[in-house]
Amino acid sequence: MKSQEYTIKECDVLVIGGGGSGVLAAIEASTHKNLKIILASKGPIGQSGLTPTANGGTALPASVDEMIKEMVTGGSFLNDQKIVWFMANEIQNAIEKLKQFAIPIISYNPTRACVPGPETLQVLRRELIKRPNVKLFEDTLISSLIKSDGRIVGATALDLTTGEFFTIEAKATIIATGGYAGELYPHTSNNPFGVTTDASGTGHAMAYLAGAELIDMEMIQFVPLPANPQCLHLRYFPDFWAGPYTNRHGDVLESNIDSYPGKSYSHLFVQKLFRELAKGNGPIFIDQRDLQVQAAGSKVKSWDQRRKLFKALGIDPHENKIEIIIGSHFGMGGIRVNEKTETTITGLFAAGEVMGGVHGGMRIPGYSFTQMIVFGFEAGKQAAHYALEHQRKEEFSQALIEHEKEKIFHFLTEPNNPLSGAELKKQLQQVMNDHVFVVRDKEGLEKATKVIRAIKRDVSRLSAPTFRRFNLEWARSIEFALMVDVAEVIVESAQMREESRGAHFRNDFPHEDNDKWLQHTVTQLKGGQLTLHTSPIEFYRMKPEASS
Amino acid sequence: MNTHITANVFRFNPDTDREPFYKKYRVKSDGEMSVLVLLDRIQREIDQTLSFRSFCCGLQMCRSCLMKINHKKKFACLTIVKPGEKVVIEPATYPELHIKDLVVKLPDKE
Repeated sequence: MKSQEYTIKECDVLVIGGGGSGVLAAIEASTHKNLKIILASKGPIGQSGLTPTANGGTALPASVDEMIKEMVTGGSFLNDQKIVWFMANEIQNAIEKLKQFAIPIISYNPTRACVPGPETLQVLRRELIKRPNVKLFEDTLISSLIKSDGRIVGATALDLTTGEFFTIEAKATIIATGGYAGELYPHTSNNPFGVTTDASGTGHAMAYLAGAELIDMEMIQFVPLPANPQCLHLRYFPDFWAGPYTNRHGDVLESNIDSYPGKSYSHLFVQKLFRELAKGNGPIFIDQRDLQVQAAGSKVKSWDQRRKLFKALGIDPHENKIEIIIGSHFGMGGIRVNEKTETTITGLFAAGEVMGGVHGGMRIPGYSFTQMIVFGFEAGKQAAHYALEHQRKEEFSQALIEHEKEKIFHFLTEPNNPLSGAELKKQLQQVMNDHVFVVRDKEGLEKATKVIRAIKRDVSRLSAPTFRRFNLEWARSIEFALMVDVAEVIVESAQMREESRGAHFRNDFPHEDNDKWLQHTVTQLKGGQLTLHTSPIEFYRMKPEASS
Repeated sequence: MNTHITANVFRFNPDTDREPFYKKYRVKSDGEMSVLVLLDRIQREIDQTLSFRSFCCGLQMCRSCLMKINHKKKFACLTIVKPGEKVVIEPATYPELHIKDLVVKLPDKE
């Protein structure tokens, strides 16, 4: 092979992802002044990932035991209880640590605080820029992890602003790439204004392709979203969602959903809406015009901003009858980790939504920011320790890197029978929506497998324009290939779980089966093949009641 | 009734173009849409070579979609255009911090 034709950057800790988890991990790791940190993010910090789009509600414990109970019963006992226990114990410390950076954290009730997404990232970006041992690689797309002798030793990268391919070698790597639910479905809260925020699960796919285990990937949260076409899928505040909900005949489906665990994030409620729509009783509306609204002035700039926007756009449900649809919101499944954020591969850590096992079958409002803050810091700490104790691997095979480079640049060559990326993505979203949505069954999932395999073959027909500089189509093609792997894992996991638990509802197995299925589904790539197995839940803190 | 929006978009790839130029797109539309959605549609359906920052926080706070719309700096996510209208779209800054077309670099002190 020729001498390598790419630049190599080196660091001690590589952080992939510029949302809250990645930024906090970089902040924490960089407190070790002798460690060199690189944070790679596909957009500028504060202008990419889902953190800037979030309300910022963060769950705090009334007591540690209460928090564990809420999460584990809410998650239908599918959570990793050691992770839950760690998170409940650590959140208060982690919040105190955040406060050092002069982030305007506002407690608005005893068990919730607002950690405002956009402001937090702006403050922490400035902090990272100040630190001499941190380098920010913004507008950098990471395309694969480099593995050598069973250990992750870095990643391949594409500088989107120039189109240059390069590698980043690292002692420890943290994946903090966020969720996988957004891009796979035609309707999603992840695209607040109908334009993609690229929540595409590439981190899940890269870890999986490197041999890491993914767990419970069938657990995808679906939520009601405004259907208004002008500002598609704009997120509302939780209090907007209480109800009443009516169908097209004006029948009240639910007058107030506060009694559902998880409220508007409840799978039971969303399944009810789904069935109502399936019966032909849609569209469904949320109508709060008769409710007495408390005009609570908030201290959170982004919340005031959002309320003003809703009013200006004519989609404030206190003033208008709003049609709703169901879309994807959050992925509870993810990369298998322990409470130290260690994945099943040495040298690889994961933080934030990309972690599996935290929420089990349902994520409760406020808990994704708790996860982000606790495990962002923790991953930074653990990866730094690992980097301090290990040498960089100097020698490893370049073949994998050359192969990855070829794969990426293949998208710039004209195939025989080219396909548009937008078209192929539409096909993938359609099959996920038809067969891997709120209600699933064996027949539908088998159909989905077939279609997804065909789409996987068609990825090689994707073709982007040939220029290098900020080539959107190229970046999207690279990400799409990874998304298809994630879709395949979801469908296989959903087929395997022959019961209904949390967000996973099987029409052919409509009951929760605690005898057989207090188990994680585990997917792992072995010898190039997707393999599945189960792994029993450990009842570290709580057990389900015997005859539930 | 008008069924198209006409966008005149600033284009410049410093690697391949000698100087900036404007490209006109007629986008079929049966209703109003934001400039950001308009650009997304142009990139997906008409011209894959167009570069812009598609990220959107939904709050008018992240500034990712800040650009010059009809010669004034505005957020593309919330600037609405209607069928029959013409709109000129240019990068927020040029030549300072310019990368390609409508994409500019976020300064360190942002």
